[in-house]
Amino acid sequence: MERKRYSKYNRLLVALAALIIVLILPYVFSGYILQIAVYAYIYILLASSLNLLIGYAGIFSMGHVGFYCVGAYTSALLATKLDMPFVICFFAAGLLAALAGAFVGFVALRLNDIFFAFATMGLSEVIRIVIQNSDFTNGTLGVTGIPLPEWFGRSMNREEFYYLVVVIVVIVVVLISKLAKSHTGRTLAMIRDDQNAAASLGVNIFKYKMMVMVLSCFIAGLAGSLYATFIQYINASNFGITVSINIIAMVAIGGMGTVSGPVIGAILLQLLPEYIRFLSNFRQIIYGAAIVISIMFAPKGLVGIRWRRIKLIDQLCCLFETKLNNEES
Amino acid sequence: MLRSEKICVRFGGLVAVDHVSLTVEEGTIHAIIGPNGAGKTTFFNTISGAEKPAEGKVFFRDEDITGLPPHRIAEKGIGRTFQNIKLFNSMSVLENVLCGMHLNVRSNIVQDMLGMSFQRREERELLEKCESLLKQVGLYDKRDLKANNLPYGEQRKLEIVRAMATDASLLMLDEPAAGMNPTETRELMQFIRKINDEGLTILLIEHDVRMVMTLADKITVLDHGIKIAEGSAEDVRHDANVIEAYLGKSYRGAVDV
Repeated sequence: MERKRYSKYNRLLVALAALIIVLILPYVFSGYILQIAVYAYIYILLASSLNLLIGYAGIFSMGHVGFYCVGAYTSALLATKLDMPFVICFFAAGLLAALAGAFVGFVALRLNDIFFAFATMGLSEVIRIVIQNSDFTNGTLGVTGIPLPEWFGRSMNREEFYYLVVVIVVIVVVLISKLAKSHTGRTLAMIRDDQNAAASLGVNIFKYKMMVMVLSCFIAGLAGSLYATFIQYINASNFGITVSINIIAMVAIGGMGTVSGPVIGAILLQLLPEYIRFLSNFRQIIYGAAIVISIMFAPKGLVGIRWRRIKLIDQLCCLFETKLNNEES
Repeated sequence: MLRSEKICVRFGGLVAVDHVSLTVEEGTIHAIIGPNGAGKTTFFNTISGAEKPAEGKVFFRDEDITGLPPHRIAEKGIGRTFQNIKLFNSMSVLENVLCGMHLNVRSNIVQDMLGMSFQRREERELLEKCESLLKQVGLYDKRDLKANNLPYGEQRKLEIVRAMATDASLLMLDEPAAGMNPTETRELMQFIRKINDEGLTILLIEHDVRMVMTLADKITVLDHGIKIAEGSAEDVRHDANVIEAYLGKSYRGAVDV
């Protein structure tokens, strides 16, 4: 029988199924599971935005958490100290994170590869330490009592906020996928593949790197705002280097340079630890091992594996497809 | 069209290019030859902006372009290829040419994200342009292949096409025939001749002497960073300094290459 790669029909089916699960989740579960789901969505934002840097432009940033942190604190402080409405907090978080990204990019994007990774790692730690030791940000106590957004004259409940997060994530992922397919996406791929060749074709490499850095940090800032608002309490110690590494793991394991990769990676790595709680002490080790394994055996991530090459899966798929065909005819 | 005046490039104590002046006339094929390490590629890199000269000036259409960054040089209308092919290997043949169109793209990052109708129309136009370009050069049937799956000769060709897509008026080719078999070299020569006839000025570095002698209108010979001869193929062939540089002192004046 004819073996097509995922047909459009199949994809639509998968997307629809995912959407239904996402939409009915708050009716089936509440409390803890809902919280895990929102975390997963926030990590989709973080992984997708980091993927713009690592996967599309080939800029290896290890400091993504820093911008996430800036976003979270901006939103939290605006909401608690100035009683700003959520919309303002949300976009201010993105803008300030983008500004921080522009600054870090301006300084560090002159460095190549691993040096950029170290520079961003260091700078993100600096951000965390400054916040942790400043009175303005409540130091080690963190910011408490961050209100949920208001609408229709009352405060949103967590289920409603869940849907808001879903909408934002969908919008961001759709925009990123459009960007990836456009000429800007192609320009980033040029920079990733060969900077000298890109420059010889008239690509202003620094400008494009700055743009993607700012965009990526903007999204990270938005994610920070969502996190702070949902959890209602933030503390700088939650924004350590391990978060950066987790995001990198999500991108690497899901599939760099693809739209669906970071989404799948984020969901998987956010849900998995819940099922292996008894191993929680080894979490970082497992993440590390997962990165190594995925780079060795599936350098393009889960998305890049040709599943049909694995015999058992292929047979199952064939069975399923014949059944579908029979039903149609 | 392109004029370099007393260009000097130094790497520490080594003088890679020593006061080289040359003029490329519009519409010609100008070749730079010379033994290994003569400074040909360094000279190229200086013009294309990858290297900054310690002394000297580069003029393109009477405009001073000395020391501009590579992407600004490309904007001026100078395209180039590389000695070791630099294609974008994660992309298809067609996408590589689309990349060459970069300077013609007007849509910005925000329009790209929103996928506005203007941006979609532009993308379609680019696609049509690239496809017609690929049809002209006979790579259309292979447009969906990954760039690094092309045969070697066609990779070279694709790199040239990609540089052409920038709408360059001067094309600099760094050893386009390197590593090619005689058939591929012949095809490449015809191709270069053809694009030159269509109005592109070409500056090339080449080791394949037969190719240079038949193609080039003017030849500049470099040795140890110094220009030792310049002229038509016939002039250069009989130049005593050139024979010395290639064959050694004892052959001076004795050999008719």
